Amino acid sequence: MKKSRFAFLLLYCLLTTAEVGKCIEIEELLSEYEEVADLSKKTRTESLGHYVVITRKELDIMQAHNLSDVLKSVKLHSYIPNRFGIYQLISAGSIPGVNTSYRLYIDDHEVSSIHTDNPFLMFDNYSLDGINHIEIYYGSGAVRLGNEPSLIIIKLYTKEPSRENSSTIRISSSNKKDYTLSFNDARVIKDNISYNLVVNHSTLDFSSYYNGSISRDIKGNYLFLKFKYYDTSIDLSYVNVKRDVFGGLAPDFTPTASKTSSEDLYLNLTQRLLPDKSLKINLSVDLNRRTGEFENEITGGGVFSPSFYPDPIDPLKIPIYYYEKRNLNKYTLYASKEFKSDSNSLLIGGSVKLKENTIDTVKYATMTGNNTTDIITPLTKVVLYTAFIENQFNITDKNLFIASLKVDHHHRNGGYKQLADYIARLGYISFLSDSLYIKGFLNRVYIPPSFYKIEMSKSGKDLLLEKLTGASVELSYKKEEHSIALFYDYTKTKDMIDFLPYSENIKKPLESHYVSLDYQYKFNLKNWISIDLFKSFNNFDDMSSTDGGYLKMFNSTDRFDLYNELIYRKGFKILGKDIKDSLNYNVGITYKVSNTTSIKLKGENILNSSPKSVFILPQRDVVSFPSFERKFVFTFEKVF
Amino acid sequence: MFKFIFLILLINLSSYGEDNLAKYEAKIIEKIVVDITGKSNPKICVIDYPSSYIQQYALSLILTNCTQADFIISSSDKRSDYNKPILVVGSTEFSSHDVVGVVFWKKGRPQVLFINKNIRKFDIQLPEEYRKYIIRKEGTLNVKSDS
Repeated sequence: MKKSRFAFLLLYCLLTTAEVGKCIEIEELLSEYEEVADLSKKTRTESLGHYVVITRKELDIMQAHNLSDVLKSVKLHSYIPNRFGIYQLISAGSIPGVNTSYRLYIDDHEVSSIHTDNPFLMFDNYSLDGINHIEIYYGSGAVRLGNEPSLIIIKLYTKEPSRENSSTIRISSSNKKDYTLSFNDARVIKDNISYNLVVNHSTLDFSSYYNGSISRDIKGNYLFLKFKYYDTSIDLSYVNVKRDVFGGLAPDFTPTASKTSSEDLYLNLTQRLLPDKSLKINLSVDLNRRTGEFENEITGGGVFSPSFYPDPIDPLKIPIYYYEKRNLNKYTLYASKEFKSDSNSLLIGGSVKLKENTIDTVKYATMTGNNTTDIITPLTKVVLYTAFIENQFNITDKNLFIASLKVDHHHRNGGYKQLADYIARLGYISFLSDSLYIKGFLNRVYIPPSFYKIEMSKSGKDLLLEKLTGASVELSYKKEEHSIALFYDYTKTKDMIDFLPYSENIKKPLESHYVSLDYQYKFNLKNWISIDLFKSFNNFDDMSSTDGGYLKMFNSTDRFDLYNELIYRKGFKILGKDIKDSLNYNVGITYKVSNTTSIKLKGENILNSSPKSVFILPQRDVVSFPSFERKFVFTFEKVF
Repeated sequence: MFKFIFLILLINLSSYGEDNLAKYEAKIIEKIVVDITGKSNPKICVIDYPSSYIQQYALSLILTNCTQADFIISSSDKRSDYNKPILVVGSTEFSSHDVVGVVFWKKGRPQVLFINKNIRKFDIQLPEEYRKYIIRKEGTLNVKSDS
C-alpha cells in the first residue's frame, strides 16, 4: 500500500480537486478555510454605510498593537493630536479639536467620553491585544445602533474564544524607552460558555518641546473581560489613562503644568432572545472619573477656562492655576427587534440613556489668591430618548433598498431647553454585474452639543444643534485578483460648533466634497498590496491636510511576516506658514521562531516625516508639532 | 482594503456562513483521511460530529459504523474501544492513545497536528506535506496528550 500511495494520491488530487483545477495541499486548504471563516465577513453591516475592514490577518502582519497603528492611515482623514495631546481622527482639512461625531464601539458597547462625546481621550491608543478585527463605517446617518448621531463609526470586535483557545503574553519596548506588557487569555470553558480576558499596561513617551515645558506622555492600564453564557454576554472594561496634556488650557501653548488622569469603567450586558435571536436587549452602566490640573504664567495668558475667563480681560481675574475633579455616569437601556422575510428585513428599536455630569471639586487661583467653587454649569443631567426604524428591501436579488429614520428627544435640566430632532437616510445597493457594485446614500443628520461644548460656550443655552445633509456613492469593481473602489461624499454642515476660542455656532454653512480611489491586488492569500488616494474640497481654511493616500504591502511566509506602509499627507498653508508634505513610512518584520513564539521589529516614521498638528496662538502666531515619533519597537510574543 | 461581497445580494450580505465553514472543515477531514489511508473511498465513522457535513461535502468518504471504519472522526475527548485511528476535530484536548491527528482553532487560525507516538502505533506513513505538523514533544501547542 505504501508504494502505491504517491501514485494514488496524485490520481485522487486530479479527480477530487478538479473544481479548482489543481491539487490543494493541506496548507493551502487551511489558508482558504481561514479566509472564508474570517469573522469580519460575519459582522459587517451594509446598512451602516460605506466601510473599510481591517482583518485579523492584516492586524497581525501590521503589528498593530494599539488603535493609533490603524487609524493613522484611515482614508479621507488625519489622525493627529489636539492641543491636549489626544489623537483625533479628523476629516481632511479640518482642525484637531474635540470632535463629537465619531463613535467607537467595543463589540456592542459605545465608549465615548460622557463629557465630550468623543472616544479618544481614553481610547486613542487603546490596546488591540483582545481585538479580532476592526470595521470603519463612513456611516453618516446610520441609526441601527441607537446611539448619539455619528458621521464615522469605528467598531472593534473582540476575539472569539472558540477561535483562540490560548493565552498570549506580549512584551514590547522601543528606543524611546516606552514599553507594553500585555496578557490575553481566551478560551471555551464548556460548550456555549467562554471568556476573553485582556490585561495591558502601556507607556508612550513622546518628545517634549520648549525645554520640556510641554509633553504628551501617556501611561495607560487596560482591563477587558468578556464572559459569554449561551446567548448572554457580559463585558467588563476598565481603562485608566494618565497624560501630560501638551498645550492644555494655556493660550500660549507653554503651560507650567498640564496633567489629566481619567478612568473609564463600564459593565455591559447583552442578551439575545427568541429562537432566531432577533430580539436584542442591551443594558449598560458607564462611569467616568476625571481630574485635570493646569497651571500657566499670567504673561502667557494664564489658564483658559470659560467659566472664569473674564471678558474684557482683567489680568487680576485670570486664573493661573486650575484644578477640576469630575464624575460622569451613563446608564443605557437598548432594545431592538428584527423581522425578516425572504426579501425584507425590518428593524425597530429604541433606547433610553441617562447621562449625569457632576463636578466634584473645582479649585483655581488668580494673582490675588486661591478660590474654590461648587459648580461650573447648571446642566448636570441629560436623558436621551430614542426610537428608530430601518427597513431593507430586496427589490430583486441584486438590488437592495434601505430606508431608516431615528427620532431623538434630549431632555436637559438646569433650564436648558429640550432638544428634539431626527436622522433620516435612504440607501441603495446594486450589483450591476458579477464584478461591479454600486452603493449610495442620501442622509440628514444632526449633532447635539456635548456637555463640554456647552461649558466652553459663553452662552451654552443658546448653542444650536449642528445640522448636516449629504450624499455619498461608492462604485466597486472586482475582477480576479484586482479590486478597485471609487468613493465620493458631499456634506453640508449648518450651525457647526467651533471653538473661537469659546464654542459657538458658525453662521456660514460649511461644505465639503471628498473623493477617494482604492486599489488592491492579491498575489495570493498571503501576499497583497493596497493603495489609497484621496482628495477633499472644502469651503473653509485648511487646518490639516486635504489630500493624501497610502501604499501598504502585506507579505507572509511560514517563518516571516513583512509589512511596508507609506502614508502620504499633502502639505498646506495656514496664516502664511507652510506645512510640508509628510511621508510616514512604517516597516514591520515578524520572525516566527516556532508555532508559539514570535519576535518582531517595527520601525515607525522611519523617514522622520510625520503629519503635523497645527495650532494658532492668540497673537495669530502658528505653532506645529509632529504627530508621530521616529522610533523602533521590539516585541516578544509567546502563545501558551 | 475595501472588502467586497460578490455573492448574491441578500439582506445579510455576507460570504460568511455556517455551511461554508462546514464545507471547508469537511474538505480538510476528507483530505487527511484519504491521504493517510491511501484509499480513494475510505470508510469512516463519526462520534459527536455532524455526519451531515461529511455527507454533503466529503463525498469520497463512506460513513459506516466504527467497527468497520478505517478512521474515526470525533469532536470530543472520548476514549475509543475500537483500536482505530482517530481524528479529533474542534478540540485541543484528548487523552486517547488512538488519536493520530487534531484539527482545531488556535490564536485565530485553523490548525492541524499529528501526534508522532500515535501515528507510529498505527504504522501510518504521513505524506511529506504533513511532516511539519507532526508534534514529537508533549505539550506542544497546548494539546494535552497522555501518550
